[in-house]
Amino acid sequence: MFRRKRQYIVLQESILPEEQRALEIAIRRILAPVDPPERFVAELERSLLAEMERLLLRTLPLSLRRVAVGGALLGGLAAWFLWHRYRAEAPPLAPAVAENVPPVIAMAH
Amino acid sequence: MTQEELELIARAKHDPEAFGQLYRRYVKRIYNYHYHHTGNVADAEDLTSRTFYRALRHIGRYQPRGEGTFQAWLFRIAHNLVVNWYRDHQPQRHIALESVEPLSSPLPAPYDRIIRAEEYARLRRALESLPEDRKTLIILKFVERMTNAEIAAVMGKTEGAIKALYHRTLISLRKAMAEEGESHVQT
Repeated sequence: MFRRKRQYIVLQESILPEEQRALEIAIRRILAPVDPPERFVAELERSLLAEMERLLLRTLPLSLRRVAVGGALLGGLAAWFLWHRYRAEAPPLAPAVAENVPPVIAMAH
Repeated sequence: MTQEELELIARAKHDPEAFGQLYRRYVKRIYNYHYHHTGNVADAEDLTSRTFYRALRHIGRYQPRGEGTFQAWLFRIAHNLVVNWYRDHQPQRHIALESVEPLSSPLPAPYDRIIRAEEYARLRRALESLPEDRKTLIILKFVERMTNAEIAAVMGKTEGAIKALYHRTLISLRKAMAEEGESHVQT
């Protein structure tokens, strides 16, 4: 006859509390915090802020952009109109020499 | 999340100065997270930059509700980038932990006796060989000192799943250390 070999199945492995604590302390010491290089931190901050400024400008609401464009157009038109009106109303510039006195006669006197 | 941080986040959506404050508050932690995963400064800097650029582009849509604290939101971005990094760098995966030598010991005496110097080296190698999700859990727990609930929010799992994963991770670390110890004795 033969002898049946006994087999045991491990249902769940466990870890002793002291063993767990020792492992945790060791892991904490191995994974010590590291400081990022200061130059990197400063440069990244600068480029992020520049990118944010750019994004904010690009994502201005459409209505706000319409108002800005409309305002610029109206302002331009108003300036053009005022300039033309000023030119039409302004008296012609006085000539340097009187028009009705010929220069030769004036010299004879 | 404090009221002050909520206000800062609300301002950071349209105010570069407020975003700068948030950046300064989290940059070291995000860098550490990436550094302990990648093991080198260049990759850690690259992933940190990409994390904050992504945060900048999406902060307008961030809504602080439920489990979605800003910390969890930011670390989720970092986590997604790390997962991609592992996919792209599978063959050269390594972790640079050699710089941290356990010379001056702040440990209480009994634990010093349990984890000896040569065992630190074994533990380092065991940590190196952990799969990405287990390493993320270990880094968030021991470097970031997050609670299981916070880790669950970052990793998109339940708190119970995190507890179970942590238990399995510790057992696998112990097993890896023991196996390496045995192979040293045999050789």
